[in-house]
Amino acid sequence: MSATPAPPTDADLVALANRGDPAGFEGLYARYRDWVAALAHRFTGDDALALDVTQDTFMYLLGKFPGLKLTARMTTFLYPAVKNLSIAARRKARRLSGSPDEVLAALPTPAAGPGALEHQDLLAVVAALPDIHREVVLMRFVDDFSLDEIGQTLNIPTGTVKSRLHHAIAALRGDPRVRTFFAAE
Amino acid sequence: MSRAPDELDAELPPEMARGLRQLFGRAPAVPASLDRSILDAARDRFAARRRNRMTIRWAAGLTTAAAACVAVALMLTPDRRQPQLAQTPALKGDLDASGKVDMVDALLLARRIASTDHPNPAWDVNGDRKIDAADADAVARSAVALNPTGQAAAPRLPSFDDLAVGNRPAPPIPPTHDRSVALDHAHRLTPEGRP
Repeated sequence: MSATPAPPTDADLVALANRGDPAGFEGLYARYRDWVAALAHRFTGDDALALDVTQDTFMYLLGKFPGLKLTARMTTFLYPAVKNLSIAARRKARRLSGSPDEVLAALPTPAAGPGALEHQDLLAVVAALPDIHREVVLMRFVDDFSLDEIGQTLNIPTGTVKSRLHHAIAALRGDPRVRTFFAAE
Repeated sequence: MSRAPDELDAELPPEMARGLRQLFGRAPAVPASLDRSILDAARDRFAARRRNRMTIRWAAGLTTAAAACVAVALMLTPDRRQPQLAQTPALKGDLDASGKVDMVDALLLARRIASTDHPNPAWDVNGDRKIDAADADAVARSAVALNPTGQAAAPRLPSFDDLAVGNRPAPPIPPTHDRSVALDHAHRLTPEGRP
């Protein structure tokens, strides 16, 4: 019985696309489409805007070939693109002005998908976190970024990432609404 | 089993992490039309790049072949005009001895000056004891200033020297009691802001 070949790595797919083979880009799209769409929804709070941002993000990625040099994970590369495109989309859709942080903060709560009803308390507690703390928590536990990758993506020192994460988790731990999550420790 | 405070503060209980992923990790449904749109755009772009690469290679090959043909033709064909350029022209600026000074002479002179390290002294058309682009400019000015009979044609076209910043006539300052407007206009007379 022959072993199943290992799936191509991101570096393999990027190399393929750099050589002009559309299969490389198609592989990256299939792999990251849903993650980009979920992240875009988190930033925009709107399905239609999220899909627009998803399209814009992959058009942006397409424009990087040939010549893309992937020095980190693809999610690390795409995260700032999704965030900035989402800010631009929200600004355009709602005619918001202000700094990017102000535009993001204009969301009443972080945009949550299905499951919001089941985890209302958790949503409320996370929404109450300062934006910079909430972002590192979600990057760490939803997007599965390492601390170094968070620092690289947000262009902040790893020590700052640790500090923000520490404060965020301490706040979550101290909130009675989500005490049951910590009861088993 | 207890863990060190540092470890506790860097991790979340698994149920909470799962809850966060349910809340923030789910994508909206992506329609097939969006997939098609993006993937079709990608295929078109990659195909266009392939065509461009082939066109560039073909054009480069053709250009190289054409340049080689021209080089061979030039080597094999004697330049009949060269002896006339070496002679002192009877009409100043008439480099090709055609009997008139025209833009052909200006272009010819410019090309010859640029391509040789040993210019002919007769090419010092403007008499400044240097053989440079200014001589070609002088021929060009002559070409538009003279008709074949040597009589001046009117009006004379401005030369590049005439249009140089320091020589432009200053436009009149509009009559106004608003000093700021006058000063602002004065600043526009020259890039340096001098009237």
